[in-house]
Amino acid sequence: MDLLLEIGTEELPAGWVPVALETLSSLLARELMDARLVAAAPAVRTFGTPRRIAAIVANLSERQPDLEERVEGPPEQAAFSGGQPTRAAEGFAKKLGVSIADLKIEGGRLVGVRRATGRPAIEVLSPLLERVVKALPARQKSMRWADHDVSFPRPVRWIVALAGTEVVPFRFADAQSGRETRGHRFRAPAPIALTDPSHYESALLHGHVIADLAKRRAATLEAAQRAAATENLSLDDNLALLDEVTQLTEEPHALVGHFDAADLALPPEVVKSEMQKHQRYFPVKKDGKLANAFVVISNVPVADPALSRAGYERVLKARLSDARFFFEEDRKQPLEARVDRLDRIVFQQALGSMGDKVRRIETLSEWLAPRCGADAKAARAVAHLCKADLTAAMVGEFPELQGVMGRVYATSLPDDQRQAVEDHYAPRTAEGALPSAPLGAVVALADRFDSLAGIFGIGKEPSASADPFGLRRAALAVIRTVLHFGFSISLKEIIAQAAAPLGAQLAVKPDVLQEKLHDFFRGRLKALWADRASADVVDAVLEAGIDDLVAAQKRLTAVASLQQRADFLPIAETFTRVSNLLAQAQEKGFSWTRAVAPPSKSSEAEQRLWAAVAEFEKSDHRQVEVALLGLGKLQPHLARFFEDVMVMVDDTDARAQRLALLGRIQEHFRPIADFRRIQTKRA
Amino acid sequence: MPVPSTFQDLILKLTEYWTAQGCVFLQPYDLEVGAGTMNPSTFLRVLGPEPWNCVYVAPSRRPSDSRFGENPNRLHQHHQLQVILKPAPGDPPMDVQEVYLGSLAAIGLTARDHDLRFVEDDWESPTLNAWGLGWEVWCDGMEVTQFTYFQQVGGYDIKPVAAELTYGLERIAMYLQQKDNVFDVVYARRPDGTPISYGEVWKQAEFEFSHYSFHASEPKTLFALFDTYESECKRLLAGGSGGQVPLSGAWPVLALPAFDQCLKCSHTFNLLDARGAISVTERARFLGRVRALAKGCADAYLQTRARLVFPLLKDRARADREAAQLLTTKAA
Repeated sequence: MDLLLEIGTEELPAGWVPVALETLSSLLARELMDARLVAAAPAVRTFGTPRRIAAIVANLSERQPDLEERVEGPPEQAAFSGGQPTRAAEGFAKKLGVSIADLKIEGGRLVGVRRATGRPAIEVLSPLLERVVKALPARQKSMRWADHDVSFPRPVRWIVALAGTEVVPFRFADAQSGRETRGHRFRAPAPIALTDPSHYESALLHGHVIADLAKRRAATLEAAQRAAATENLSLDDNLALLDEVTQLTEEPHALVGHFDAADLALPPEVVKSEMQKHQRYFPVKKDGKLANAFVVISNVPVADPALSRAGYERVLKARLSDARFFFEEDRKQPLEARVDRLDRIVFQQALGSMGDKVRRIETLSEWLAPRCGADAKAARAVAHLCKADLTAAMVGEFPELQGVMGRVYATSLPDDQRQAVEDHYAPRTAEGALPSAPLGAVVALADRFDSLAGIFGIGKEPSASADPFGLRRAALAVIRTVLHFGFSISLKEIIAQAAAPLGAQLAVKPDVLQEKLHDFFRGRLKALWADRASADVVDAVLEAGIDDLVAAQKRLTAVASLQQRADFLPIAETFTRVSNLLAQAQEKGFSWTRAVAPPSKSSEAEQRLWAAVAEFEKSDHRQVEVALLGLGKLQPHLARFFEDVMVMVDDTDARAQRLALLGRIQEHFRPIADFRRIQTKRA
Repeated sequence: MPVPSTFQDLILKLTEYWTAQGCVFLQPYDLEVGAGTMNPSTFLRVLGPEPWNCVYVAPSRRPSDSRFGENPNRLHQHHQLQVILKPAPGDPPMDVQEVYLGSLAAIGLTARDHDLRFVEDDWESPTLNAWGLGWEVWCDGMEVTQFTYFQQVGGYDIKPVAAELTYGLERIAMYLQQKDNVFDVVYARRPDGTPISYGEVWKQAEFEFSHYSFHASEPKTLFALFDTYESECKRLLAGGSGGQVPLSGAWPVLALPAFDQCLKCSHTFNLLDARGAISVTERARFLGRVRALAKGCADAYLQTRARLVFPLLKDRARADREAAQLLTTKAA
């Protein structure tokens, strides 16, 4: 039989529904497997609209299979005394619901079999489904309603729970589960009784609800495209908006509206922001350019579209006229004139005003630019204006336009610098687009290193749960930018440069700051690299240093590809042995000097290793791929060496020579990776 | 339902609807507030277990939104229609959303002609130690109501949960009358049917209060007033003994008069803010002072109602239990 669970609610937050469906699906699968109502991970189909989240699980057992489980009891000595069962044995038998005669001795212990008769699915499902509903919101902001103690993201109004044709009875707040669902709030308000889970989707479709999220998304897109096409317009692609709009209706209906073409004199970003962010309208294009029209997705087909269209248009018109007012006001003065006002905006109490921050970004950008192939003077000019738009009315109204308005208003700068003003905020999201050129990247890096060094420096680094300055995202942005442009710069130097002007304001000592920030970057790299190599390889590479991020990533790639080779584990083991030996020697206080030539009286294994090292050093071993290949070739010689030669001998000369040889080898591989981190024994 | 043809007809239709739903029809509070939530009939009445249903117009003053009567959409003073439903009706088919949709139908807005939607919008007021979850209700893309289920107010869990419905009257009137400028809205009609416009009623006030907000108010005086209202509020919250040995003729803790002083502080702060007299850092400090007063008023009000054993609550056992609980925690 199939199982249907539908939680009917008041309108849910759009962003939560897709998350809830994933949680619902995995919760149900786990619970049903634990309850032995399915043998393996079941097929779960989910449905979600603004007013419901639902799932159908196929092929449940009608009852749990009987359980037979071997259980170990007390040891034989404790179970019998003088051939008679003890209390412990009797207790054990009672626990299993069997008699002493049914128990056996196995491996010196009393052993029995617990048998449980499977219960009918309906009985098991009642508490199970109640648990699932309670656990569902987990990490979502939830609310209480009426006088209930339970919470959910919005009030729960009905619950459908059907196992086959039968209702699974349970209660959540004042909703008692049943077989009645509801159709569209306005188009099919009467309850719809379901006889069987298989009718769910079609019954709702009849009730003007497209319950399947993917289908409704496709229908929304199609409706929007079709509406746009009626006026020879095309949709401006915006998948995030499509996802959101899909969650705002149960049945999409599209309408085209218009606005005054004169409003197109506003920057297109402003017009689009008004439509997308504030009104959830789709901007449309004509001949590749933004048109003075939009597509809106309505939840109902209204009786007279003209009336409703006029409403949509009037709202947008008021917003655009506000925007025009801001735009005109803002342009009454040059952007340069706004820079001084940044002194009145607090960046962070201990770190001064936004004006202070800008002055630091200017200096840091100027220092960084030549190291990144950008012009120092241009970088300073961009940095000077990069935050000036924060005091513009338009940015006050649309914070998401910071940077964009800076670019629009920075009319005194050449085009590439104007673009860099906008780009210094990039990437704006974890996966957002990076700056388009090195100039913007330089200022972006300077801005982020100023925040990282400053906030860590005053001891306000992010905790596991709170990151109010978005430093995790900032560090990730730094890494992505540096790697994308291939900037070969020293993390340590930049941090030192960024911290320098803060001097007395910092509560943390310079070396501690370096250490903390390096740790922080290692944490981000670990996450970023998780799908490029196994965790131990990532650790090994991180441990060898991350000062040059570009080089670090190259090393990772090289080690990860070496890992694909059959002889990787022996190589890792051998190098680990080298490092361990050297560490031991150091601990014991043994000393050795850097080896230059093989000693005269040495074994064959020693001689061969010397020769191999010399051969390796003749190769182009600065290239990490070449170095790793070469180091791989040393492995058999090293293995032989360890077999034939004792390193830690009492003869101090011989020992020093051998340690020196190993030290010389370690010098070559240790900057690439710390092989001791590689898991050589697979669990 | 025919669409109300004037601003005042809109108010009448909505209040008529909500009084028919059992709401107490209150008159606007006679102090300056920034929003209907600050009215004691909301802020204080939602505290504790007592039921409370009311409707009132809240003239809402936002000095920073002053535009000299020249902006078609922004006003120094706009009008909200505020409804509090505690507890919010929950039984289908007439649950609180349906009852609310009935009020839209009463002013001619139905799903037959319009796209009505509940779009997630959570509400939070750090100054009032309050938050709630709910929606902005859209009519053809325009926000017509803020719909909030109060979760906490004054730092107290609200139980039973109260629903707050806040209608933006000017916006709705503009929509219904299809006007692009608020001052063109028909406010009322003379006996001969000629319109009296919103501008005729309010434009001069907008002009004068805008000048007051931005130029004429005196920060020095306002700062002094803020201090005075603040200490007055604290004095009233301390009760007639001022926290000292009880005097003869002492009066009890006066939560309601104290809250008036808190509201005056809040409005004075808004005036200072509009005047640009408060720096960013100072701002947080002033808001913190208002927050402390509001919290004190909430505490005092709950104590008072608890001492009266929550007289509006039908479930007397619960009233006794919750009153006792509140009074003992306070004592401890």
